[in-house]
Amino acid sequence: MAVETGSERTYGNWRRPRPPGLWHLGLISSVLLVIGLIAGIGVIALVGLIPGLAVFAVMLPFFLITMKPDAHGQTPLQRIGMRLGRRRARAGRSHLYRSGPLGQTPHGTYQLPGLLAASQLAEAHDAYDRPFAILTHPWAGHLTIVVESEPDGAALVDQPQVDQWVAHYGHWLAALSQEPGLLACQVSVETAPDPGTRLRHAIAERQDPNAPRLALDTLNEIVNTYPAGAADLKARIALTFDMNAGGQRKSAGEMARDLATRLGGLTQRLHATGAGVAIPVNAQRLCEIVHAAYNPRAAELLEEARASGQPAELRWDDVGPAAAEAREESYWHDGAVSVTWAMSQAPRGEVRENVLARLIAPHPDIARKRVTVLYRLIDPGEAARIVERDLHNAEFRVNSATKPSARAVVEQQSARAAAQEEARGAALLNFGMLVTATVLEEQQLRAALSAINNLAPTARVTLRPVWGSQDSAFAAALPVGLFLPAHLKVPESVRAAL
Amino acid sequence: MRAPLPRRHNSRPAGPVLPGPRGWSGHARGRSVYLQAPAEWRATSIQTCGLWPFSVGAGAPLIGAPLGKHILTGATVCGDPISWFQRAGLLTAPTASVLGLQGFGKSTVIRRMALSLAGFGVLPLVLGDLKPDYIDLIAALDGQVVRLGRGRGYLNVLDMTLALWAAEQLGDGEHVKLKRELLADAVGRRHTMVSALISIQRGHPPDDREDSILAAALRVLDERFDGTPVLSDLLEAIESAPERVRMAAFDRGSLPRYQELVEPLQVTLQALLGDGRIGEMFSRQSTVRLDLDRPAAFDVSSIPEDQTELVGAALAACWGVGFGAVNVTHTLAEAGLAPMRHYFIILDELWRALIAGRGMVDRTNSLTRLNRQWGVGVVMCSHTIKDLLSLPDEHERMKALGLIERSGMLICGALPPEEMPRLAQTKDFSVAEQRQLISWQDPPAWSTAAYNDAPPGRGNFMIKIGGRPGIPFRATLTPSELRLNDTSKLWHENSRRGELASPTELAPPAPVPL
Repeated sequence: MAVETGSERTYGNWRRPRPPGLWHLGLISSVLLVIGLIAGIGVIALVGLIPGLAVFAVMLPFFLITMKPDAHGQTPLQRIGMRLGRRRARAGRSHLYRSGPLGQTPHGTYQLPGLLAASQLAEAHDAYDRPFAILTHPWAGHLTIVVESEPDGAALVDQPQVDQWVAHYGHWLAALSQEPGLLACQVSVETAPDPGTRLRHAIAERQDPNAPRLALDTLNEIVNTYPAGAADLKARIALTFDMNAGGQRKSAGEMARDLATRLGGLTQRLHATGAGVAIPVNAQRLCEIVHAAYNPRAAELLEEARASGQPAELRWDDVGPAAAEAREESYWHDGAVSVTWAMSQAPRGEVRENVLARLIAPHPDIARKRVTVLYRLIDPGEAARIVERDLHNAEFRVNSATKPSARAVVEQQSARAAAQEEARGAALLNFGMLVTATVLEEQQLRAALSAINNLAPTARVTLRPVWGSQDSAFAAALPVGLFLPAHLKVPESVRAAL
Repeated sequence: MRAPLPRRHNSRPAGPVLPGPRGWSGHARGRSVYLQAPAEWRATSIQTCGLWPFSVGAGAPLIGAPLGKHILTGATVCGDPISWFQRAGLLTAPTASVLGLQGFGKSTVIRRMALSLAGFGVLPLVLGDLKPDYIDLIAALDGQVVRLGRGRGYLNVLDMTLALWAAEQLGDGEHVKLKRELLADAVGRRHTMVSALISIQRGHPPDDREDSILAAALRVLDERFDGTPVLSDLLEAIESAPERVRMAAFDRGSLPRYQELVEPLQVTLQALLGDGRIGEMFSRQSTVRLDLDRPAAFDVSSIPEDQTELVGAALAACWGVGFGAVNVTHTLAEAGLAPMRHYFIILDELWRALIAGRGMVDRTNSLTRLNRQWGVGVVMCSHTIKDLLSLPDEHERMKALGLIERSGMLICGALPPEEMPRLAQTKDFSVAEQRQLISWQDPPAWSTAAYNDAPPGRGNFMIKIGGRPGIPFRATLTPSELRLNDTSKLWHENSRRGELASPTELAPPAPVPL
């Protein structure tokens, strides 16, 4: 609850959306269980005992593998599916990627691999005449715009100001769920080592060649020694719109015109959330961001070019890696190795707003770290229905037992609190988190893994490496607004129901 | 409605081949086979905002002189009043104030700023170096060091040669307006400097009649005197009772009345010629002319600290001369007759001049006024606000506080807790920032292992501009600067008693029997 214990505000009360069904089973599994039981009993009654037991024996493994989730909430069925998927990928050699004129991609460009291969980039101007990039994912029918900012941080700021920032962040998220057509929001905070090029250029630009020797020597020494050990931090917010909203498929051009007027308001409201001044990302900048993610060694060159006033001109079909390999537990791309984790357990109980600070802060063992919080917005009408249903279920559980368990009572209280907050105007959101750590050499991978394993408990989350889908998880953690649930073959509702 | 499916490769497509929803299919084409959507939790926006992603800050912009490294992030912190005013638009005036306890490195930060700006082509001007802290730096930058003090150097406050020469250059053609402005400024400055000296010598400023007499007498000197007058010439001019001065004195035609009215002024001026508290530093022609194409420093360190009046007078005179010369240069540059020069003016120990006499705050305001803010940055140094508030008069105190408030940039070092309420009045400091400033003044811990005389908070400063969180940084020096910064050079040689050439030579005299 956002309660004030003394003068401290805490947040909590998030729950895994549980589909209706028996125990851990989803709806489909429960129905199949019931049908199976009836069938089994029917067979015993009509045909005989042995055939009936055979039916049960056939049914049993199915339910075992859908029933028992492990520490990360994965059932054996999911693990089997993952292994089969990996095997298929290796057999078809699709875990490898070779692009460029000497590679395997049809067009001979350094295209992005996997889910982002079909994406297309365009640029438009908003109401303030700022250029902004429009990224379309044609197969899913999604359109993304990205905003970049440099947060001020809560280091020396008084608690009341921080509380205000967080409250405004809550309002901003709530306002998003009312934006027509907005499907998901992704907030990605990336830390990278400061290569020192910005300082070098800032000083070289101002230096007077006729200045006294001592002054020039000192400035030289500063430029060479100061940047060591510093890190760069940037926040990027990607908003994903559904092009099919409202029944009719809109074209990218129409949506761009629509968004151009709305973008100014969206970015202005971000300022009050503590994100700092938010500027829409233009097409070149988006190319640089994605290219620097896939090829971290190029990041320094890109920074250098930008600082010297001649930014590199990248095309969207040239920002991918020249070579990549999706391994079981990591993703190798252009000489760098990344591991992506997904949050498998949200912080339990109550937390303060700085719970993610240590996870987000730069770490000396990790070259590039990206923490992406993914929000799925729920339509306000749907949200009202969901909270009422949750409240109803929780109250049912409490009232139906003569001595309700403590958990059931707490669940009822939290469901009631959520319903009240929603009634007062808060929006309902689904959120998840992805963390990507990139290192430039294989030998540094161990240290990076150990670092993340130590940072996860400080954020009170459990992180699970996305085994078997490192490439798609890497792409999902990038600030390009990839909404994974829309790309799944098995529709999500069915998956949840299993 | 989905996008139209692309044709398969082997069926001769009509248009360009497009990748599938999971990527290109085929050997080594990076198709994503198995997807896992990250697990989701559901909560209201009031709770979800608790996983706030902006709790860690990015670095500050790299505009200006590099001062040090950010204490929390290690990023380079850059800033100086000129760059933040001219390039970044973060300040409304190119002035900065530096506050902090003694011995915590204030002059180090200012030296770094001056050195970096010198690298950018800006000329540092130190108008009054008391300790001295800056003359080594100015000398290393091939600058001019003007020594002032009893017997070392003199400064004539009536010297308007530079302004007159510049006025001649401007001529009466298209720049006549600039010329008039320049002359008016120089005349006003001269008057203010004399008035300041009188205020310090007497302890209180001249009254309005004496002001008018002074102004008239200076005008008379301009008309009649050939060459550059000194204070004795001014005294003579008043003594000779010219018509103009008599009218200003309003003596109603009576010479004895005139002499009665000008006597207090004459007494003070006579004292300024040598025998008063201020001595004869201002009584003769200036020993050195300021060359404004190089860095410069006025070395007033030979004046003992306890002679507050002389210190205050010397500082005020340096400011008048320095700012006047900068004004001249800028006017000529505006007229296109001289190259535009940028200056970084350092006013050290501001409070010493303010408390030297009553009315000095107003004089300071007019002496440090500039017609054009472009191309000049001013940094004012003081210990704590308490120093400024040690003025006896309430509205003088308010005006002194106003000097700090109006400075665009505030750089604070370690400060004591009592200072915080006063500090909070000038700029909006959060409680966390105040605690940070207080923590820096803690002395070093006891240690038997090594004798460490440096307090751990030395070199830590916080840049504060209105409305934004403070930027704490640690000033780290480069090897070139460390060689220069040795302010305690005198103490390096362990003090030795003079070695005796032979034990008997300097034997004390034999005790006298009682």
